[in-house]
Amino acid sequence: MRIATIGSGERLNIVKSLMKQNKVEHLSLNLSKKGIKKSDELENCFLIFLAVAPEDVRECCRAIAPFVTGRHAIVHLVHALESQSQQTLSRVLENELSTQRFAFLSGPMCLNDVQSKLPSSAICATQFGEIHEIVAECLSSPTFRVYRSSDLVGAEIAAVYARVIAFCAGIAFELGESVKSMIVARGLSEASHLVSRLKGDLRTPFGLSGLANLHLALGDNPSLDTQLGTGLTHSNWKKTKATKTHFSSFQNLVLNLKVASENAGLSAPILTAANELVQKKMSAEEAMAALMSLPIQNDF
Amino acid sequence: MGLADLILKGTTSASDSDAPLFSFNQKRRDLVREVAARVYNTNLSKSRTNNSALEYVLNETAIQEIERLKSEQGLEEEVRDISWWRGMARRLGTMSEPEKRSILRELIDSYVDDTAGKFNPNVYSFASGALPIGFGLFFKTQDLNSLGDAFLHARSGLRDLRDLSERIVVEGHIDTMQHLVKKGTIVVVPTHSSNMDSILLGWALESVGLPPVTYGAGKNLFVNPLTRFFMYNLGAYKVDRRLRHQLYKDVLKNYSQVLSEWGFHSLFFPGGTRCRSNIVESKLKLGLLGTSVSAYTRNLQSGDDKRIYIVPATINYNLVLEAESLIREHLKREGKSRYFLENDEFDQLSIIAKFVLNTVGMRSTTVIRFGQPMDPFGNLVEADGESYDSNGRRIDPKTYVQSIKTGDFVEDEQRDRRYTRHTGARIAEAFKTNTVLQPSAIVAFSIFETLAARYPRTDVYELLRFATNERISFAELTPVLTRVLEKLRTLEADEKVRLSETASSITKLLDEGIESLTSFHIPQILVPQGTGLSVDRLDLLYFYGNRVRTFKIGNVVEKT
Repeated sequence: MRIATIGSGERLNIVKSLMKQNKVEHLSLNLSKKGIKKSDELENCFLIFLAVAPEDVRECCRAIAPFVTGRHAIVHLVHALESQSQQTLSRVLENELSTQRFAFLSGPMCLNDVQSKLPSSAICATQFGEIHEIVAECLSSPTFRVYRSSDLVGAEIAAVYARVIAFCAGIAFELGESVKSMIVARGLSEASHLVSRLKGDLRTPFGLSGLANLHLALGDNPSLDTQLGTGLTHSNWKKTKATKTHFSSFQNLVLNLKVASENAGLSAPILTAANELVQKKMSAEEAMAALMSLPIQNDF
Repeated sequence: MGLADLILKGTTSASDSDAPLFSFNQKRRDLVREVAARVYNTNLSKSRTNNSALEYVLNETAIQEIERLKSEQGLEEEVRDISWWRGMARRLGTMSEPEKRSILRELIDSYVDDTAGKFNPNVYSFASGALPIGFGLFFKTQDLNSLGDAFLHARSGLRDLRDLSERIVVEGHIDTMQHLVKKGTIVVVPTHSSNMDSILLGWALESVGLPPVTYGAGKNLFVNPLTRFFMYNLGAYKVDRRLRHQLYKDVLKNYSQVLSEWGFHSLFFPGGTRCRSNIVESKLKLGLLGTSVSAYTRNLQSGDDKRIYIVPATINYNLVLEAESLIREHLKREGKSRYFLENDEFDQLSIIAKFVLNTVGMRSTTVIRFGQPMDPFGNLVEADGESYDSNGRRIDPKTYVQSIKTGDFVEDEQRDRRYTRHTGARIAEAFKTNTVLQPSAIVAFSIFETLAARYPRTDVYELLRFATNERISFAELTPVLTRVLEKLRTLEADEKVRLSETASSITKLLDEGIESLTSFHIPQILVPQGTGLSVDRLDLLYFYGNRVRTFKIGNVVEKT
């Protein structure tokens, strides 16, 4: 069976690196303004790893749709929602492609660790057992484990929420570990409520796609989202490694998640504060003060 | 010569028809054998991995049957009586493995044989022609004496009965279906409001030149000798919803699957039971639906690419025969859904007679609408028999059941459950978009909402208990009805629902709605009083209005 990758980014590089380690051959394709070169070769590639910007997903789908059949499995690695619909990427794929076999690959993966063959893991969220089997076959090694979940929507939302929580925790870096821990716990609680409303499993945010991603983002090498938060406490994100493009896409991500949360009938204080901050409607101090003055609720 | 002889002898030979069901009797024995073998082998394979599997199956079946039979002694024939179950359960611990197998095999054989129906072309031919006056065939023979003058002397009523075919409109994707029955097997999945549904659908299919279908009918319909005669000979198979054990569920699923595999067109109600609330069904039972994926896969594995097509259908009544007991059951909210309603209107001749006589005299029509067929994976199918995705691209349904890795056609329970959920969601959508809202529903909804607005702090259940003898003037009702209609027309323009032809004018809609709601039910739902209406049956108003409530059109009453 042939395998293809479409797109770029660190997560896709990890997948490629793991396949290389396992001597799994694959076709590497890229989405450009002219479409995807050699897309017709996808006809015989029944497993496709997809990592393109959320705003490009539909265009990418349209480019590959003529070659995708019900047999194809698409595994996406995108930690974002689509701006146009505020839907998870698997829903967008479902709308655009004739196959129904989708999966989301996420988890605390770090390219350096994988290349150094340090122990690490991922989660393959899918309702299709065969996809998990094949993905595990391609990526697993003595130092890399692929866990399994059938909660596709839960894993996708948890991964996106983890980015927002990382950002908010970044803001709190200078305010002490206590407030950072509080934001992590309350943020995961918010994520869990949203996942539950979207008919996912409310425990999923506390797994590899949520908590583990978050832990990695707040670790020794903070993620760009965390750095954005820290930068904003100094009123200057430009001092961070985050690019303008990243900042702008993160603004969209927070807004999309907020709309999805509102559509689900939830009030999400941490998400709201994050949105006010990235839209520059509130300073970090104001956001923290607003969060600390909210009525006390049950922990979970 | 009795009625049965007359019918069985028949005058019209339909045996030359190429409709698959016409060959059912010849294939019945093989079909029963095949289904029984599959169920038996599945259970036997469990025993290969778990030594106590057979004991577990027999024990679970016995426990459930003993419990059921202790409290339930209906008129329906039992496959085994309670003393047999007790004896078997007592001996189970000391039985040898071959003995357990033998008992399991016999039990499965009995269940399958009890389930399987027959098909008699002459009975079919007779029933199709006679149905417009054939509601009488569903009367209990013991009730015939109670017909009384109301029925026998209602000559105008009988004349109207013969015109019943003009009062049932069959519409939708009929042309497509006519092509598809030649290319594959169709599985009709309709909404379910009344015990009349399967009868009406059978007639509807015949009236537009479509072949007969086999369908699951409640075992209670086989109690009455007359209904049993017709059910048995019209291809219905028996479904005993009192039986909850897995062995019986396996029998039904396998029976349904083999029917599809062997090319018998069929019908089942994915809602499982009649919808108590009259809301358009959205929570569907997927067990039988899933058999279409399995059947398609099995056919492909044996080299046969015969397609299976799912056809959603809606039955849109102006009045529902069993409305009173259905809404009563719904409002009781017993938590557990009992399938059999005691003293259901369908069991009472006089009520059916009254229903038929009253409704045939009305101007309104019942609309049976067939939605666009789809494949077992929820993709729409055109008249060419091919599947198309949501963007209009032609797709090959075979690829859905291929292994990603090897390309072989494989059964995969988890994968197929996912497909079936998806198809179930598509059917639920099709139910909504193919619903034809009748005047009774629109008027009932408008009146109920107007009354509810008078008690803004009262919930529906309080309202139903306490709001009695309410009066509503036409001056108050008309603006609400106008707003309701406007909102529904917007939905109709977006192809999210359909409106009855009567909805073209407020006056016609109101007239016909009131006509329906003042007929049949006693006490009447509405009683005209000068410049307005007195509302006597709020529960039934709520029931009929629920059809519109499905579409969540928001507030329609302006606050004063």
